[in-house]
Amino acid sequence: MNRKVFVFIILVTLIFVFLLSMSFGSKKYSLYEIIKFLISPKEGDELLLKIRFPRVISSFLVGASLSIAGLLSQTLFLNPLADPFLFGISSGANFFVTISLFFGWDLIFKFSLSFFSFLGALFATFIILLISRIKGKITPLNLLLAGIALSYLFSSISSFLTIWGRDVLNRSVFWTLSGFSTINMEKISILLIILIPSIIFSLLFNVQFDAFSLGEDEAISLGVNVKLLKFVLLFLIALLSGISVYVSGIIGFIGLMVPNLLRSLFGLNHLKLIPLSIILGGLLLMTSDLIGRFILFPTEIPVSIITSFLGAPFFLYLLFKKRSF
Amino acid sequence: MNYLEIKDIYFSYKDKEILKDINIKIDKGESITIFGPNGSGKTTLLKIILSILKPLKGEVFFKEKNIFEFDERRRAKIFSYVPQKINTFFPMSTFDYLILGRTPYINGFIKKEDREIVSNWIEKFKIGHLKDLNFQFLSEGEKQLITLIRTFIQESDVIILDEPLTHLDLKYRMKILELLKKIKLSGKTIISVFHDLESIRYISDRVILLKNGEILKVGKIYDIITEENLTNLFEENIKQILTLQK
Repeated sequence: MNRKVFVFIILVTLIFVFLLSMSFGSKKYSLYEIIKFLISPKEGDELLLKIRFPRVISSFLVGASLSIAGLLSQTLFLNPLADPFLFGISSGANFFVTISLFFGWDLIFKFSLSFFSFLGALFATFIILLISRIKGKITPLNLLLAGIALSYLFSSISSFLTIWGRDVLNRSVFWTLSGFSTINMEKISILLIILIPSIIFSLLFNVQFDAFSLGEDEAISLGVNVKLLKFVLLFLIALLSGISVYVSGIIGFIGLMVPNLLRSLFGLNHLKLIPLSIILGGLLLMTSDLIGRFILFPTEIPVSIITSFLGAPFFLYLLFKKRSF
Repeated sequence: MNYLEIKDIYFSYKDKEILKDINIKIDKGESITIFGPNGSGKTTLLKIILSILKPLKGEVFFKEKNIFEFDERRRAKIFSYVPQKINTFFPMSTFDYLILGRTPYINGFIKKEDREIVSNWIEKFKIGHLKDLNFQFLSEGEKQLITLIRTFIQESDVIILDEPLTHLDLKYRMKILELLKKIKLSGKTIISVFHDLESIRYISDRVILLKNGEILKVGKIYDIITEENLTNLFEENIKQILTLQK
């Protein structure tokens, strides 16, 4: 497919899905009402301002975050199958949430649950770094194996606690299934505060990321500070994954699908892949959320079920396909 | 002033000595080859010069300055590298692969001048037909040639090559040797590892015989490549091989 045509199609689809997402729900809005709201939000419907718009925009922003996190994961691990979930970050977030539910820490302040999920994401990243440092050298393979092991450990302890504490079970299952139904502008503000500098920072390192993708030895010979770059990659991945979990809980496969789809068309060029990941990742998650709201309306299917439904077959496809350009 | 000096290098890994008492002085514009059996430490020595590995003892000096006192970008402007095996984990165009030679010169974003430099070298080497192709799908010979051309784009003083002719057919072996000859005539310094004596004779001013991590002999090719030295190096009677090579 022609690349310019592809970009045109995803931009048009983005606008279409955005308008449809804003329109569809318990109360339906016309195109005129939506455009009127976008021009002067404060004069618009309260439902649009406080629920519909935050939901749609946050699904786009979280999709963008997860896509970039996935792209950077694949760069760090030199592996197209790498994904933030392989770090165990989401499991770490879920683990901290489960602990907080178990001990009742979620009642400490208003956003305790989200805060603990964010803390868990950072904690998981720190543990992975420590584990891989034990051998005295960080390699992509060490990090990947550490993340997988950590993911299993966090998941098993979380499962044990949810079985042990009945109340924990009821509340954590809903958390695990995730979504945008409880989103608000405060969460979106925090998301933007993290996302925008992360994007800028990633763009500034675009050439170094490309060079790193040739392998460490060649990257060093091209003047890349490989140790620093690995930390930058790891930190950005943890930040973007962590903030996504904080805002919307565990959502899988976006970080796997989007970079692979884009690389097959545009090749390895982070200057192009980063902005395209924002658009396509945002579009994919926004669409998934819309499908989740629509398919069994008025019952809502959590967005992570939709992304897993799309992502799992894609993951299997990746395992068997040849790389193409 | 010494141009490039490798001084008292010692390197070991997991209690196994890989290199010991390595002392070499290299002049500007010289082409020097490291020759020895598998496992003698040749690639390790190249990686130490490139600062990919740090020696446990000893130093590498460029124009009498310790190369570890330079930052990574400065070192990359001095040394460029053609590895034995060229890794490509992801699809990328040949043009995008070549432009990575400008990495030491780029702050943030690739400039128009960088693209022009790459385009000029593509035109000079008549490889325009390859620039939009997926680098992953090029032949091994094309990849080696493109990587060698990238060293021009990197504008380094010293070019380091690790067995650049391995797995190549005669056509690409000749192309690369011809290109190396031109590089040598342009005044650049070349440090290489080759396994075949024919290539060494064609391209090298001096040869270092490396055995079990130690320098056996250093000298001009016709003084060093003798039956006695090679028998000592490989611990095999190589008279027949020498006859074939002639």
